Amino acid sequence: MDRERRYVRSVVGAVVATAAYTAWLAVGVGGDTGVLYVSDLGSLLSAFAATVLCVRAGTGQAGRLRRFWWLLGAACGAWAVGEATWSVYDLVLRKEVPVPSFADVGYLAGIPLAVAALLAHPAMRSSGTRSARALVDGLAVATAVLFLSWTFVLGPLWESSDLTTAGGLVGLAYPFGDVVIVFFILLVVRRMTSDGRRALWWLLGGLLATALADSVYAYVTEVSGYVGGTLLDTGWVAGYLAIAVGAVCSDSRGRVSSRARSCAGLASILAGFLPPLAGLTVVGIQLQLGQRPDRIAVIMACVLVVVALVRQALLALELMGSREREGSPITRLYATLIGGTLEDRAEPGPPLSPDGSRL
Amino acid sequence: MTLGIRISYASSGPPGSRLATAAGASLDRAAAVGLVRLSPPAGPPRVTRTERTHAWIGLSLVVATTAISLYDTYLLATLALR
Repeated sequence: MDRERRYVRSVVGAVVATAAYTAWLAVGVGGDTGVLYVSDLGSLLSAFAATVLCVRAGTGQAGRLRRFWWLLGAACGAWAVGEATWSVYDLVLRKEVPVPSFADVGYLAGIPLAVAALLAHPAMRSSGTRSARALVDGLAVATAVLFLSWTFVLGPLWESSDLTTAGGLVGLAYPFGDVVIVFFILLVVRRMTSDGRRALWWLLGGLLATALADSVYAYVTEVSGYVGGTLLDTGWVAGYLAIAVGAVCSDSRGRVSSRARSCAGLASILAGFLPPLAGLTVVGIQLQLGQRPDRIAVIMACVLVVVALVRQALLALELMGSREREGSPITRLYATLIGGTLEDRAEPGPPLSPDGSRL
Repeated sequence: MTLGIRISYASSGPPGSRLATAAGASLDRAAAVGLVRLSPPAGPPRVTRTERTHAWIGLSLVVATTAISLYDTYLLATLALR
């Protein structure tokens, strides 16, 4: 089947499945029992589909890309095991899922596997890693994501959780894991080139959706107790299906258009600058409104401000140092902002052979 | 085996350059199936109009981040001295 047609079919299938799942939960067809079955089995099937398609995508690749897909497949497999265990509690044993439960083993095992997959992605070894500014960039993004999570999810959970119990620790492990995943997603977006951009967007969107659903789940569990079959479950189903779509379109190769190159450049700029800007804005609003953040939040805010200012200074130095290089000021500015040289973006490299090696 | 042959061609040009256009189209097709590798034209790298817009967006973000960082520094210092 034509590659493009297969991609369109997978997108349509994922969108229709997610819409049907959401509509079923919203309308409540079949009463509580029907909703519970659809909620549990829908999540399980979507995680299983993502696992199979990631493993299949890995077999068609070589080197780091194969490792990436297989690790991501393993992460999805761990989540599928978690979903299956959850379903056994819900549908076979017909009892409320305890916190913590055996299902958490599967869910939490997926987090380090997903991080390992992101670390194995070829984008993580691109030219963006060369400079000291890349290190400060990463630090700024990490501090901002941690600060935002602490302010909205982690901090309130930390206050209300009983950390002497396993349930309290497991409840906190989810948002902590999500912070790490979101950080690595932003790092991959920051360093990604236009090569294989479409698959990567679907994957990162899927991982982001599951991470957000995890954090909301942890928060809801702590505040009011989680009840299965709510619209929150859509986050996981949409996330797994987006990963599946990314796996389907993973073999897109060939020459990269200048538009794709531009979009990768913009994504790289936004991924590096928006999280620190969002974090700094929240700090400013909190202090301006007279709210007194807790000690940990203040320390994180101070680190964020210092790192952001150091990063801007390094950026200015790098920009001034690039005056000897050829090209107009706007060319040098663009190259500096995307964290590499323009040639890195312009040259996607020769096309891949069917076994994944460069021709 | 790699042949180090450099071929200069124009895939578009003024009217009358049909030969160059045909050669360019053939080379593009050959590159698309991986038979040859086309290098970018010599000279300094250029940015497109879209990339120029993105550079300005980036510059705005840099300016906004710097301004808010400085303002937050003032607010945090005030908080520490209170």
